[in-house]
Amino acid sequence: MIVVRILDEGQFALPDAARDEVVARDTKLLTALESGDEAAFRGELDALLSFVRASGTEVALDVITPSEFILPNAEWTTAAIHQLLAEHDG
Amino acid sequence: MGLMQRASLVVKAKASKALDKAEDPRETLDYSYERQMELLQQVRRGVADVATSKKRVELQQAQLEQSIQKLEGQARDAMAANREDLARTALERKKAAQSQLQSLDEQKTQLGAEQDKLILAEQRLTAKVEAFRTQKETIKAQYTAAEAEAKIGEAVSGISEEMGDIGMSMQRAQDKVQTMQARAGAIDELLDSGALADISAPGHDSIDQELERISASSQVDAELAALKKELGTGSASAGEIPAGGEGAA
Repeated sequence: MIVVRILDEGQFALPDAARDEVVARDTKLLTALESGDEAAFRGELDALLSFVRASGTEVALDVITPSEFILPNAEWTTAAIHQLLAEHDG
Repeated sequence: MGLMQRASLVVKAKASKALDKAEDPRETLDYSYERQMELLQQVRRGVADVATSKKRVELQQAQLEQSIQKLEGQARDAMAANREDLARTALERKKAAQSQLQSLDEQKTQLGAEQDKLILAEQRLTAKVEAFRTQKETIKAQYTAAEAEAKIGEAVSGISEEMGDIGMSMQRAQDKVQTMQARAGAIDELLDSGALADISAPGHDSIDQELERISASSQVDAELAALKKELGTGSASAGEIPAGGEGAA
């Protein structure tokens, strides 16, 4: 089972079979972010959000578990995401 | 590594930094629980703050709507009294008030959305904190310090991630509310300055007084005319009195 958190929304549990696709989409998302192409990034993010919501089930509120992947929701600006990632590097 | 994996590392690093302090892993549970309760308090305050800001916007809307109505009436009265200059001033202020009212509508919608989000965050955190409290007691009661460590790790990193997420949402909500409070302050100043107020507001040309004067004198004119009619032309009053007399008879 893969646990993915959508920030501001909650956690989703996806089957292990979805791992390859999640990782591939995640890599594309980062590439789009780093290319600075806002439209491409939005496209990838929306697609990934839909994929996670569609192929996962929501983790119950009384379950406490860390997530393997953390995904900003559609409201996050690229600037805010860059800032979040920079907190780790810094 | 993708974006989501990096983001999860950031959140985990933040969480472990915040919890490094405890020596006994079981103390970590209590320490984390305290932080959770603090965050819950903050989120609840956040919900109250957004509600207060929304209330303020609603009050301003009511004030502006009142101004707009009054200004419209004043413009109409001024035109009826042939005072186009005053009517123009009233309409200009009405337009300014209307554009402020529109921006307040947008603010209210945004504040409402923030309010909904924070309420959901509060519900989510409340449920998680309660689940954590139960797990905390179970771990403390059933496991030795060494055994507890792994279980604590999972529970604490899970809840820390939740807290990180909610903390960030709250920060964004607070930033938005602050921006809107600044705008609300600017509108209060505009309202206080009288720029959006009706023209009879203190410190301005009193259109109301002028209109009252005009209306008073036209009332006097009308009464004078009625008196003239009554006294001057006997046939009119003679015609009216018998009409009433017939009805009584």
